[in-house]
Amino acid sequence: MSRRPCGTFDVSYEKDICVFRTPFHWIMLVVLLVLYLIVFPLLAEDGALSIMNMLYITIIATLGLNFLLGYCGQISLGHAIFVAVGGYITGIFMTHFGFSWWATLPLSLIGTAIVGLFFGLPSLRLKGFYIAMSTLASYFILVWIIMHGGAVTGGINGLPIDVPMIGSYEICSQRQFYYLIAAFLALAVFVAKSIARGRLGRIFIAIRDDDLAAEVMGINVFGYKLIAFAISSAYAGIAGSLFATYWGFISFEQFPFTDNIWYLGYVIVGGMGSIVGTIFGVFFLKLLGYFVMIVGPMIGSALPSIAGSVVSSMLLIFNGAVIVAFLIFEPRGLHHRWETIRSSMQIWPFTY
Amino acid sequence: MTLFLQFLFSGIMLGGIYGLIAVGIVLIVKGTKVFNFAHGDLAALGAYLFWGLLVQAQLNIGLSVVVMLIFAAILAVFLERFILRPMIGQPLLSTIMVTIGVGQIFAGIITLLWPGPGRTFPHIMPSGTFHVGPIALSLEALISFAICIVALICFYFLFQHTNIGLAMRGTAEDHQLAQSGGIQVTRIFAVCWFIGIMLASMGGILIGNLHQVDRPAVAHFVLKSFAVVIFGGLESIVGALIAGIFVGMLEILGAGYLDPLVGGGLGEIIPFVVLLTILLIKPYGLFGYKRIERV
Amino acid sequence: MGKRLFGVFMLLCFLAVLPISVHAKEDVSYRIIGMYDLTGPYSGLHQVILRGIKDFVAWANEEPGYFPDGVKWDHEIYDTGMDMQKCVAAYQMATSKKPEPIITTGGLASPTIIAIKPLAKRKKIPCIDGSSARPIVHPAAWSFSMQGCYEGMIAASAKFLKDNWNANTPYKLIRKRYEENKGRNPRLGLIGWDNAFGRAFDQKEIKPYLKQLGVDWVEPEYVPVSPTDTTPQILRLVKRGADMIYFGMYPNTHATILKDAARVGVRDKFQDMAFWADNIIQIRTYAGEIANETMMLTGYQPDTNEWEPAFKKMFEKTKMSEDYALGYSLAMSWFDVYGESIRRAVKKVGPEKVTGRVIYDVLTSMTDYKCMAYNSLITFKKNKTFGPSTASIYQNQNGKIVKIVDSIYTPNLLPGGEDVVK
Repeated sequence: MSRRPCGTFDVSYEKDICVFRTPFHWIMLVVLLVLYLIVFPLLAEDGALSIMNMLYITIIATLGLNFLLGYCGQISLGHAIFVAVGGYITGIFMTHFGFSWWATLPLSLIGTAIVGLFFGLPSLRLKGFYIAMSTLASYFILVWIIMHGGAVTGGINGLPIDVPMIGSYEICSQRQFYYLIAAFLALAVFVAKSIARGRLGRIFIAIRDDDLAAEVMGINVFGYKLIAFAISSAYAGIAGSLFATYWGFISFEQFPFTDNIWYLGYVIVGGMGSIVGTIFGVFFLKLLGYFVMIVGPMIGSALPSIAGSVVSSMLLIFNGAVIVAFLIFEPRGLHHRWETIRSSMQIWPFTY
Repeated sequence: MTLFLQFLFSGIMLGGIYGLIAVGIVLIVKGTKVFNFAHGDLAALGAYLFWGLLVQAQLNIGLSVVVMLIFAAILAVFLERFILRPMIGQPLLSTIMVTIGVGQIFAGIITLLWPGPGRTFPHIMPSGTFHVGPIALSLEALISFAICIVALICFYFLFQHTNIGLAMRGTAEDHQLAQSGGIQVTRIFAVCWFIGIMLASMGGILIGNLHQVDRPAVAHFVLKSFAVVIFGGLESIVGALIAGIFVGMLEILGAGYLDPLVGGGLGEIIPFVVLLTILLIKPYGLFGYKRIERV
Repeated sequence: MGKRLFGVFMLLCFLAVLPISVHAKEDVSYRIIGMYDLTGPYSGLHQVILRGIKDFVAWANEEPGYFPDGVKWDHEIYDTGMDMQKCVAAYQMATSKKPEPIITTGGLASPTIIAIKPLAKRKKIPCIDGSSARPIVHPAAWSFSMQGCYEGMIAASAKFLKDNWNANTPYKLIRKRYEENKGRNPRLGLIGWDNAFGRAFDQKEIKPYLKQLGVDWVEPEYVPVSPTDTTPQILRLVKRGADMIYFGMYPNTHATILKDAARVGVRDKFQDMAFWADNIIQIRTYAGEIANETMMLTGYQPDTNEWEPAFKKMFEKTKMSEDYALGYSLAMSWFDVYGESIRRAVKKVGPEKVTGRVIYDVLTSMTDYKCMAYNSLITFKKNKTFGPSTASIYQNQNGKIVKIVDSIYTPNLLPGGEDVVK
């Protein structure tokens, strides 16, 4: 078993910048893919599958935010609405123009990117906290537009959306959706990793670390900020399309304001500027949420002497406390913890 | 015309409370460089606590205010020492996220102590309506507005004409410089949080008195006053008050005249449209100043 | 060291997430799935409802004769925090466990019930809940509602207004409006929450029905769910001359609007009528004497004296204030319908064979069932999935809640309904 750093040394630059550098990496990749695409969906029941489907869609959306926030350093408090916009573009083209779901995908990608670009425009003159405010405004304004869109957006009732078809084969059960969403997630992670490792990723990091310095070095900061907004929204758009078809309908009530904050939370808890961290963050916080959903009432029924409200409010406090504790004790996120564990495993049995 | 004046009056009354809450946010931003997203839950917590003291503990108003002050001081010191001091040096985003987490904890505390639907205050100020010409003026709203103005004037005086105010302004300018000038910055942080919590609680109590003490309603109100903060400029206290009145007026007038044309709900987003417009046209607000950065 | 401990704690959190639940069983015990918002925006109301449900479920299991011998029910609770994603996930989880649940609720809010509707139809498990928003009851599917249809509530209010549009009516505000506007038809307005629920009332079937009745319909107004100032909306409605305003919202906003109306001096210019699941007692608590003439059209019983004595005792034991009586009784009336359908299903196919399908069959043949703590009779049909066709009207008369109309017909104005004006 050849792990790094002991034992394997690269002899060319190509080899050094590979993602999968040793046979062990390739074995891990195959094992994980088998677990992810074959073993899990065959063993899991509908409940677990539906949780995973939602988790994966959330990861796709969060990967987008990770570009904006983790790589480019722009805070967005309106990410949920871009997911909604993606879903609505899919819904509008499927309902009013009879497109197939697949045909709406590129439209939704481009459309959401344009909307994202528009709301990224204030970044010409602003940064940091002000950008957070402009995206916050974009959330409420877009919700209002969707709500008053009349027949186009279905107004308050939202739009019903058909399941996607492959030829004449309908994707409708949880398991079938799992394969569809998992495939998209794999693709999304691959693209994200490629962007992050490439020229664009480096530029984003330069802007995040110091935008003035980046500008002095000849980077068109505003242009690349807009690109970050577009990429981020495009990811949200794809997630939105998947979300819409998976749920069978789309309505603005599916995207409450708190979702925006949760998206931020996923990135921060996972570790900013890390793709694997994003995945960890979504898993951790979402599963914590489901844990609260199931365990709270269970404690309530096991200990009837305590009123139900006590248990649920304690869980709310717990939820907030976990976030606060994380930021205080592990400010670099789960990704950092993962790196520490991995490196200590690699050099085991030595301590450093 | 009658309708217009009536809307204008309601808007100004609303704007006073917007201004009060915005000043609290501005102060914390200025003093500690933390944008407090827990402000809404703090306001709600203050309102609930005041309700609890008045109704559950049967204290009179004066005593309740004293207890509230003690509570705000303890909470401020606690927040500063255990939550935000470890965050010094962390990126802006992490501090924002911490305040969001703190807000959730407050929300949990509120559900824990005061479960169920919202609460109503007993008559803590005279109510009634009197007419000036064709428009009806509500005594409650006028008193609330007066309280906001008086509080803001007191606060302005403290900020501009006292030693502690000078220390606060110094800290707002630069933490390190202030520290080397002999100001204990962490203490100033605690003072900023204390005043911020007081202003938030006052805002929460006033909203609670006009309508009812209800966490989601108060929290949403505070969310809208973020627009006021930006409009007035992140650094200016006078700006926050003027912007508050302006946004309140716009909200009511917009809801009054434009709603029937577009099918309703406009009042809710007008503060945010204002926010976006300001960010595009005059990004540092009416009275904020643009900082010069060096690499 | 602290960091390592923290890591272990995180790991434990992960492990604890894996749901574990153990059920001990002796009798035939049917699973009823309940999804509530115990940590989210509606937690206040849902905590009360849940308390009522828990008490009622326990009572029914112990009360001899409520169920046939050897039959019990088991109420499984999920806390969805009003999050639609969590709600659907909880639903999937609950329904993929064996034995299959036979009845579910949809999370007690229109959006989540709409999300559950297609799933309920696919899984063949009836979903009974409290909302009659149009997407839920039309087209009729496996989602049932314990409220009259929303359009019918407005039509019934209009009928009440028309009947009292004379100088002899005992209701002060309506009489005052009549004396000021003798020459014209009475006018009905609507003020609703600016969301899917609040906007579900204004449907195109209402106008022709009201016209036939001789009541004018004025343009509706909408206020945000957590309003800061509602003066513009209420002033506009008053300007349009609405004699009665139907409030499509819950008590906190209702009271806020009444207070705002009093503040601008128009409280006595309209009669307000509260929504079916609003709470007239809570409005009284919030708004005090401003709510003195408020009316409420409902099938529920806000007054504890109308309940079965056993429930009244149960409620008194909880030491909750009277404000919560309606939420508490709401739970009992729902679960009594569940209980009745289980009794009928057991009688029909025997205790071992009861499934969601059988429950659906007995529900859709349920006619004029008088359930507990509920005024209206419950009738479900395959094409009519909302229960009641009548309602009572309560009024707050100087702080006292009085039933002023025992039974008023709530027309079925859904598309294809028998009362739609062609």
